[in-house]
Amino acid sequence: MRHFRIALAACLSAFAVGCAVQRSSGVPEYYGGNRQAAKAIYEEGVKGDRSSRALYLLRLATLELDEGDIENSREHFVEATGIMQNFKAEGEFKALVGSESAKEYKGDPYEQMMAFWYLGLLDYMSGDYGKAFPSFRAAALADGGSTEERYQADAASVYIMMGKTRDATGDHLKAQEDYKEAGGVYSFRQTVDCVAAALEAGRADAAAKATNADAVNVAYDLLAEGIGAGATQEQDPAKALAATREFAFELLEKVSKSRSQKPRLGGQDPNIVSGCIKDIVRAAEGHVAAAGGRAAESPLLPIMRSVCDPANNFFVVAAIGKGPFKYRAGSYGELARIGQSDYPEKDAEIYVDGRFAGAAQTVEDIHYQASTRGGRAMDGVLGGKAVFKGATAFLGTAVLGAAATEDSPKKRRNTALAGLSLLALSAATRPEADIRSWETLPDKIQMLAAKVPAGKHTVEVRFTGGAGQRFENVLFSDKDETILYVRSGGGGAWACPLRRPL
Amino acid sequence: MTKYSLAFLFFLAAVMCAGCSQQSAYINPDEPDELGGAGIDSQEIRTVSDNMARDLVGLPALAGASKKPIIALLPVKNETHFRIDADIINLRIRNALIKFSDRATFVQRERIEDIRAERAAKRAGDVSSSGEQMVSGADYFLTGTIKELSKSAKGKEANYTYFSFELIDAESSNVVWANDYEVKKVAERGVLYR
Repeated sequence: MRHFRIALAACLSAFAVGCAVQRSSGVPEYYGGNRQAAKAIYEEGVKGDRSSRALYLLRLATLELDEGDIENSREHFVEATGIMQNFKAEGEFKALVGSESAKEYKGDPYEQMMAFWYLGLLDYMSGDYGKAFPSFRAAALADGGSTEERYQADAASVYIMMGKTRDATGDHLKAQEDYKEAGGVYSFRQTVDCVAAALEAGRADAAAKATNADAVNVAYDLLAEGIGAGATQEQDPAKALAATREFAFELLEKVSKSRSQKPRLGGQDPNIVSGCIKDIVRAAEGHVAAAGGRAAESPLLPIMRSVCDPANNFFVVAAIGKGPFKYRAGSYGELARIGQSDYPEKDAEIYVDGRFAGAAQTVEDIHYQASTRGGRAMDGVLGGKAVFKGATAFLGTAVLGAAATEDSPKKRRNTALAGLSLLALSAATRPEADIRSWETLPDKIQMLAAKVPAGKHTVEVRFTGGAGQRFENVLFSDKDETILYVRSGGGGAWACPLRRPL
Repeated sequence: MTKYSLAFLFFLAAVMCAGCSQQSAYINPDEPDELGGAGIDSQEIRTVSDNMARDLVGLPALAGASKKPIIALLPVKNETHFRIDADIINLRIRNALIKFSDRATFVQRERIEDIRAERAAKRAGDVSSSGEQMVSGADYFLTGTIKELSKSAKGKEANYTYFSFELIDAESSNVVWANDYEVKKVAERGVLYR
């Protein structure tokens, strides 16, 4: 009896470590247009949920910016980024022993990047260029903080804002370097898009001829993970495709030798998967050659030129759509995957006093940023937990079965107790990945720069496919810049930070 | 309930409560805090400003000047990713020089608009005046730049931070004094965040 109580207490404590109060995220309310309810949930979460405090601060700050409350939004982004960049974290032991969601939320690299980017934008809109520049630099560093170095530094919007901040402080030479960096990032992205489209077409061709469609899909997943790496190494799409193939082979070898990652092969023979990789790439080579073998000139160049042009006094940042979300995959939900939401809005068009001022161009794809992170060290831990959970469940069942065959009542009881303990341990093991994420981020960032005569004007932002936003009495100056932030489906804010006399 | 079960329950309660308590304490600004990280801390700010002030005190332009030179502070340029108020360093240098050496006069340019408004009110007779003076022109500017080399990978962050300060002749633009300070830090996140 004593042994039973001790075993029961141990199992209960294991459960307790993994238990957490489930709070409403407030995300459905935000996207459903019920901003008041969303705000109440976020404010409650900020006060009451220590492990997700930074996440609720990010959601609250995003909503406040939609409402035009620059000051409070900035304050909450400062607080959130302070938590995210703090190396100390609460709940680490609980998260290792119990559920990963017990750890203090600090965001993935793309979330940290966007948090610092938003903070930098608010600093910029407030005219505090001394704080804006470090914020954008922190965003650039956060973007490069993934485990795979090959996915580093590909956030064009960060470099554009760094350039604009340097221009605002008179450091025009260094601003040009930042704009050049942004242009280079977009060329990289063009190569990625070309290779990705070719691989997609190659997969379809290979699947049509293959007898094992599942192996083709596994091969494609490995190739997709290597696209960023290939494009980092080679700018020419044909060479980037070849580099992607080599990275896929490396990844295949790594995955097939790792016990925790082997489930990614879905039971397929690595040799067959290897053959499928070759087939897909062979087919993709034809598509790259048909596309001219070279990425088209970046459509970002016109927007880059207008953003750099000092004659333009109106700068628009349009945040469009619904950002990425995370979901669980794998037998025990131990894999965190990035999902992409559907939304109606496509592009932002800007009208000043009813006249068309220009169409904004996409400079950032946040889903792309989220999905090119590379693997996490924690994925290995969770994979190990999943293996442990499966093994203890199997053993516990086997031991319980063996208990029935014991000859003495004492042996039957002890063996059954051992079997129950193993089953309880299996039940208490929480390999589920942490899927908390900043879902109120947009999916795309678009920008526009234009020249507007000095004075007060009405600005309308129309989103193709969706509803628009209207801003009355927006102040423009010949000498200073007016910045407008607008969110599709939400609101926005404008500022003319310097407001020097005309 | 057996004593083992009771002991275990107390242990569990203690573990749960350990995460709940709030504490605050005063610590020496020269001591590292528990928050970790590889950023600019109060120790660096204090060391840099103390070093610069000590070096400036012995400068011939200040020590050997027949008339106390007038120095204005220009904003310190922060080119790092640390969102700090870099002017803290300039202010500490100024305060150290005023307190301990009295070899220079500093002018307050950040409040110049308030000063201009007060002068205008005095000249208009709206407020009393004890005598008119010119706003002092600066003989030198004290300013600085903070730069970095930063990299991060696999949960580790390494930051090399370089502080450079200079005293600039406000007439000729000559740099009459310069000094620097450098520090490198590495920090690592737990496995949960890599």
